[in-house]
Amino acid sequence: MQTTDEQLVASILEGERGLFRDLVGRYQGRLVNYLFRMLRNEEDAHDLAQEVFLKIYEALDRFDPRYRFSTWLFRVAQNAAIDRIRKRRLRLVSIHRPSDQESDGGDWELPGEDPTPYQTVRNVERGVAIREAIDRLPWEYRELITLRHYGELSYDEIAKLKEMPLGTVKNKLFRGRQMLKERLEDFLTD
Amino acid sequence: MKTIKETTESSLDAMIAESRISVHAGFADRVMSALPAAAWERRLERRRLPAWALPAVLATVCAVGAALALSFASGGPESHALGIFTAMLDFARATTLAGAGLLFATWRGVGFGLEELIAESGLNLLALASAVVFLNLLFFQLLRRKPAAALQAADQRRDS
Repeated sequence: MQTTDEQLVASILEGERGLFRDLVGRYQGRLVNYLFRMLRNEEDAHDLAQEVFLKIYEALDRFDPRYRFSTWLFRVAQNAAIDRIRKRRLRLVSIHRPSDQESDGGDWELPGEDPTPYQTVRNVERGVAIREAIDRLPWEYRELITLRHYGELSYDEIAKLKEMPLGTVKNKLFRGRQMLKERLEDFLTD
Repeated sequence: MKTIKETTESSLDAMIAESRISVHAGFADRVMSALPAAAWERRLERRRLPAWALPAVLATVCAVGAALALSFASGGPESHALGIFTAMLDFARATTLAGAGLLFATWRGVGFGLEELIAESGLNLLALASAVVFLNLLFFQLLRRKPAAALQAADQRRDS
């Protein structure tokens, strides 16, 4: 049986510093992707993810084990991302055009071993399309979609993190996905 | 067989999955090498005594106890060890009395000062009363700000 996050934290607090690597391993992909969606820059997402892990480590003794570690981690990440966005003076609400840095599609992971040139172009188009579609969502939906699909948090974890009733979270995610489906209709019917 | 709705749902999930980025190689190593010495780690280090410390303390306590007992048995109440012990008790008592006296004198001094200040004019009294009210408001404001841990506990109680 896998050790829970809370058990890992308890062991780290007893001096097993090396076990923090396990926590990093468990959450690095989800955290980097969540921050990437928030900041829209791969390097910034990695830098901030590292900062978040360091902050978490420094404050580990203040973690309440009755609470979920993932919820705490993403709350810290969310605050850090908002601070970073404020510093960069970016608008938090819908952005209708991807930045120059994004428009090359180079940040996106492409599936398949050896895609044909057509597939490559198609994949880049799909990557740009989904980014634009998510960026155009109203902030409340965009945030929940990001937490759910990039942070890979459960409905329950999102409800706790956002201090919303579970039903509201489910409803907003459903509506957010509906909006995405409408905007990505051409790609989804391929 | 999948319905159109299910196909659209799974296509959307697939598109989202494709748009995820991969983490840079060696990311975890960089995090681990940048880990600071956290304050709680330093406290942990201080709490940790070397393995020989407890037996050494026990041995010392036993030795001192035995020496006192022997000294008391051989020399009676007037022995050196007992004399040292009572002298130390006297010293502690005198220090406590002196500290308490100093504290009392300080408070009396502050009391006299304030009394004099208030007696001088009504304006001083008003200023002092305002200062007290503002200080109370400040404390009230500080008390109302719940610490993060308390907020988390409150969340937990509400959820359960």
